[in-house]
Amino acid sequence: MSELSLLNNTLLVGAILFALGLIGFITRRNMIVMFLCAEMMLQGVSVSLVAWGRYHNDWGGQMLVVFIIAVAACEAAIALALVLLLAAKSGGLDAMHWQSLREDGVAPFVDRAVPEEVQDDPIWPVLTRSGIEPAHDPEEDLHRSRV
Amino acid sequence: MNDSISTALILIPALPLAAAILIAILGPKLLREYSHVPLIIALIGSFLASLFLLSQVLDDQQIKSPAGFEHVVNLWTWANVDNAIVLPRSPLGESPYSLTDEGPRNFRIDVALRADALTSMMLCMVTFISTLVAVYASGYMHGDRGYWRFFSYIGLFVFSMAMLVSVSNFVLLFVFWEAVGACSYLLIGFWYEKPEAAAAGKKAFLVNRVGDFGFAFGLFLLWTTYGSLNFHDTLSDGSVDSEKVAAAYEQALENRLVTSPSDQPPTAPSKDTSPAEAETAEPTLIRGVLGQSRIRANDYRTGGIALAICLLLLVGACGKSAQFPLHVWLPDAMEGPTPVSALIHAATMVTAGVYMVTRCSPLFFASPEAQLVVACIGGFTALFAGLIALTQWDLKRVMAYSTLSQLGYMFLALGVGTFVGVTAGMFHLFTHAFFKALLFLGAGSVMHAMHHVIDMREFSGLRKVLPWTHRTFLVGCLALAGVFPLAGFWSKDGILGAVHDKIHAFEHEIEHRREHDEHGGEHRQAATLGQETFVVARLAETTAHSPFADWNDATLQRYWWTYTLLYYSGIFTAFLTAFYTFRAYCLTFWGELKIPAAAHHAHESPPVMIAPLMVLALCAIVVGAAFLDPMNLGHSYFADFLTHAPSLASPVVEATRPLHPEFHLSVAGVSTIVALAGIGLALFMYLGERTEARWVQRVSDLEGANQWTGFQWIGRLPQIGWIGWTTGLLRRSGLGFLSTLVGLFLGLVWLIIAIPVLLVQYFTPYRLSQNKFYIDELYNAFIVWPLRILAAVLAWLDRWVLDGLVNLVGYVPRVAGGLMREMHSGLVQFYALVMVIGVVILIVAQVFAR
Amino acid sequence: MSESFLLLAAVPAWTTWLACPTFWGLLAAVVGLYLLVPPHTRRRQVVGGAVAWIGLLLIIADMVALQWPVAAPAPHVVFWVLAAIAIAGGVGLISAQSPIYSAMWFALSLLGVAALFLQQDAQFLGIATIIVYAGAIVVTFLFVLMLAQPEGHSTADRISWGTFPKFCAVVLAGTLVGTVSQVIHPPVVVAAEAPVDDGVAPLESVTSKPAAPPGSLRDQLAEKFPELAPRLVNVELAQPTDGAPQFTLVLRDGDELGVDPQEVLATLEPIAAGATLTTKQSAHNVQAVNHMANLGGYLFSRYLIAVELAGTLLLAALVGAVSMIIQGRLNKEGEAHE
Repeated sequence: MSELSLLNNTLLVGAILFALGLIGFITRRNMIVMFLCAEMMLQGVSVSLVAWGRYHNDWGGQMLVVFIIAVAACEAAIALALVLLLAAKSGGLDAMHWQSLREDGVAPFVDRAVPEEVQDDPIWPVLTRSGIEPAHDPEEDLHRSRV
Repeated sequence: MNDSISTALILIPALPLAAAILIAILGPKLLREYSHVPLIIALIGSFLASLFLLSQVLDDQQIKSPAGFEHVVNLWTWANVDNAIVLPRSPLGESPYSLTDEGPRNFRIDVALRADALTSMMLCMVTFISTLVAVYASGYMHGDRGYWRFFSYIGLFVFSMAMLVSVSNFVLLFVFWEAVGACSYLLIGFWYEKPEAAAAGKKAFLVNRVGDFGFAFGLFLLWTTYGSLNFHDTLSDGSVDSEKVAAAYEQALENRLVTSPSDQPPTAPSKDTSPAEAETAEPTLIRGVLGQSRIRANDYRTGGIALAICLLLLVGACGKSAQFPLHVWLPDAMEGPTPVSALIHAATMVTAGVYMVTRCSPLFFASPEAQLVVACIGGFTALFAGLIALTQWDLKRVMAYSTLSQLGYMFLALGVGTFVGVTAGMFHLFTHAFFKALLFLGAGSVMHAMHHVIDMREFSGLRKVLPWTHRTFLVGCLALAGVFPLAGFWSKDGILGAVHDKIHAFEHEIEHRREHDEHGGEHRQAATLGQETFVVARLAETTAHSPFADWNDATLQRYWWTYTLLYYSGIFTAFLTAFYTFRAYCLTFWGELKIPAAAHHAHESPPVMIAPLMVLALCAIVVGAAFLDPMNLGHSYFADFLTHAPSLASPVVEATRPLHPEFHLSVAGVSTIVALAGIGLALFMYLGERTEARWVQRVSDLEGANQWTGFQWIGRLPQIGWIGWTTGLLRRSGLGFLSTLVGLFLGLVWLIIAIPVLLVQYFTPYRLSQNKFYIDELYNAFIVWPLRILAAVLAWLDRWVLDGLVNLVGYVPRVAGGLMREMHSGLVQFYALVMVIGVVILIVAQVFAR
Repeated sequence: MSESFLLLAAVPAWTTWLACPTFWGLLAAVVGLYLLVPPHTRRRQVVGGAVAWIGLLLIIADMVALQWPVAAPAPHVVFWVLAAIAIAGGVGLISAQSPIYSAMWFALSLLGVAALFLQQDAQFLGIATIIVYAGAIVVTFLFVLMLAQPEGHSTADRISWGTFPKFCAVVLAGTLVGTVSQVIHPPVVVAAEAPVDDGVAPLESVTSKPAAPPGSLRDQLAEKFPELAPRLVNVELAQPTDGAPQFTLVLRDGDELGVDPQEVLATLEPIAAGATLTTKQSAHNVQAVNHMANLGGYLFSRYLIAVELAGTLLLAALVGAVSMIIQGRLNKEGEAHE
């Protein structure tokens, strides 16, 4: 694969990763998931940076990624601490809970229709058959001496 | 010797100022009820200094200079603008001493004081009266909350007034003109909790502004005309040393003779000289407007510009001295404490206008038209105020209108335009100060006893309760009425005599022209021979022609009958004066004893108030006759003294001075008879049975009978049975409009009948006088209300248009912010979304827009 | 930038778009993602997943087609497989109902990304990503999840906060990716226009220029001499005004040229006639054999201050996180006392 193709492809992949993180950050309401999505965006940027560094034969790209990882670690520490505090206060991880920081007089956001939780039928493990089924007496099934 | 004059001149204003500052600082905490002490001490000091100054001036002016005596003290330079104006070339006057004002002039304002006869006379009068008033006020104001404030203001006022009469510059004159106005405002509104007092203070201030407007324009015109606002002559480097100035004048005259043989103007300071050269050059003479060199040569512009200057100055004088169109503030100013009324609004400040016109005599003598206007305004105000004073019930207001009337007399005298007239006006100013202060202080004493009730209907017969007030007040009344031999008699007689002389001069000229027409050519001789023609004679000696020589017959005739009219109106005013003075006197002190409820234990005022009354009464008796030559009653030492004041030493003024002044027995007789008639009528009407009260009762009965001319009857109509019944029937039958038509018709008929009735009712002579000829109402209708409406319109525009624009500027971001505010929903992810939208727009724009 | 407000005029005509598979792929991916993000139903997930995959494949196919013919297919295949893993992890992250699953999907995505790093000769980063992210951060996330939401899922995980924001989000993401792809491979119509040389020329125009930059020279040589490719770092072209142009082949540290210089010169003839050829060893090379040593050297020499700052930041974050937790606990105790 030529350097240019590699760069182009990697940039595209970085952009896709970034865009996925973006979608997740905006649509998901769980603070942890939102945070993961932010990390996802960082990943997209990291991928692009490494590709640029390689293309230009420069260490800067990789260096930046090193620092991104460092900052992401800090961010994770702080953000998780915050998330824990917020979760302790609100009793959940829903980011919408903190909408009371809005302007006076602006109508509050209310969930209009919460769908029922999808209750998949529980699938119990099924053991594969092995050996020969022992013969049993139907009479014994119907008339047990004890329960 | 001159140094002592300077010291006295500076001390006179400085002492009251120092006292005022001292009282203002120490008064509220330390001095309290002793606040009057520093002021009285300072005023006595000022008075003694004034007497010293007077004696010095008397001594010094015996060494006669060509154009009077003056002594200038230059304190410091206030402002100096180089080459502020370049005067155009003006033609030389006819006098051999004449110079032309030409070339660049500095706008230089020196804080300079000038002592001359006029100033020293005014200073003596002001400090004397203010000392007495301060003593009186220490009793009158006793216990007032603003005791220290009062004396501080009085000190400030005396300072301002002393400066006003002694400064030697029109700008400083204006400054202190305003300063006395400010003091007047402060003292009228002294009891500022009282709404009337506050309103009166405001009114005085605003009306005075109208006058000051004219005055200021007069000053501008003076500056552009004469290129100086100083009274005195200075050198171009600001020096006022009299010898140097005289030398420079000689030099200038010499230059004129050398370089300009005939009509060429002398070499003015060249414009080309560089500043360095100008500095090293010999300082040249800068002639003041009322400087000796100008007065000696009579270098005054005549014609339109002189008339304009004089009329503008007159507007200022009218404002300060409360002459006719601007007189409305003075009666209201009586809301102030009575000592203030006596000092400021009777004796001193209101005479500032008279002083100023006298001071500017050379200017006014250059414009006979202006003098005629001065005389007319004075004469009219005298008559007009006298008429109003006839019916006022407020004792102080009677005195206020009397003051207006007497000030009118003074202006009449100044407007006569002869030396005798001007000195008579000043003499009347002098004597009036004493007896009017006396009358006001007497009224204050009554007020003090009556617990600030001043309405003469509320009290009567006080002669037993207030014996000394009664006696001194009577002296004041006699002096004001002009009874022989009190002060008012002599001064008023002097004024009437001056007018009489003027008329005679006109009559002589008219006669003489007729003779000339008949005999031709011999009039000059006839003019010098006439016994009563001193005016013409003296002028013929100095200027070689009659002052009326270039007047045409019609003008002469007009002047003659105007002055004649003024003379007779003056006589009539003398009658009115006597009448209203004694009306007030009788109503207050005679009749049965009546004391208002507020003053349950009325008693004579304390000695500290009575003593100044006595001193003033003594002055009111002697001050008129004391200055007369017993050998020749027409010859006044007062006038002799004033002759030396530069303004009155002008050859033009001097020319109108009679060689052999004589006492006009006929005028004196007429005025005495008229005054006695007025007194008699007043005594007849008010001593026994009070005739006026009966008339008033009758008038008010008439008003009661006239109630049907008011609007009330319309409301009562339906109460009349058949009218109500008919209208009801009409309304029920659907013909209600008929009753409306009938009602409109009746209303129209009523309007046609009632309006004349109402008008007649409101315009009876009594009502006119009682309501001050509705001048206040006229001002309200034609000035105040239009201005208020204009102000309301402008306020509306300001509120809704200008403020609206400003608010719009603020409102746009608010609306924009309001829109944005809705987006502030508190949803973190929404913020993220908005941010992303922005970012994507930027990226897309960046990528695709290349 | 003055024309940047005439955005619509600069956007390619819609016919160009219709002919572009990437456009359709993006459209499909957007629709699929719209269906995949919450609220979830099984049908939406199946349909959305399928559509999104179709879209992704279309995009990949278009990319490959644009770069066709490829000299060595293997790296391409590897790359796209790894990319697909990373992308699949991302899609799973945003579409999983349970946050636990989201975290697991994220870990998968990280693995893909790490592999991509490895493929680009960034070994250190690849390993560091796995250790720091997958090993530490994701584990911490899981801990926090279990602390904060022990039941594993909640109502908020099943729903989004609005249809319109969701729509906006996917459209914006699609626009973003589309813009990037537009930059990488502009549609033919746009490429035909004369590029404005404002110093920031698009990549495509760089490749099509006759006087190509060294990067593409290296690609040319690498295609011509496959054995040289791993060793050749760069090709520099010096064109002095008073002498013949000179090519410099920058080789990997410690490597020889290994091919005939005349052949190389012959290959480069159309670019600069009468040129000379030299070689030199690359002093700093991201693809060097002693990669880790170089990286460490740079990190602690040229980027030392940044490293110190990052260390300080880490310390501050540590202290901050601890103090926040302590503060929160104190507050809670205070509330309990009250």
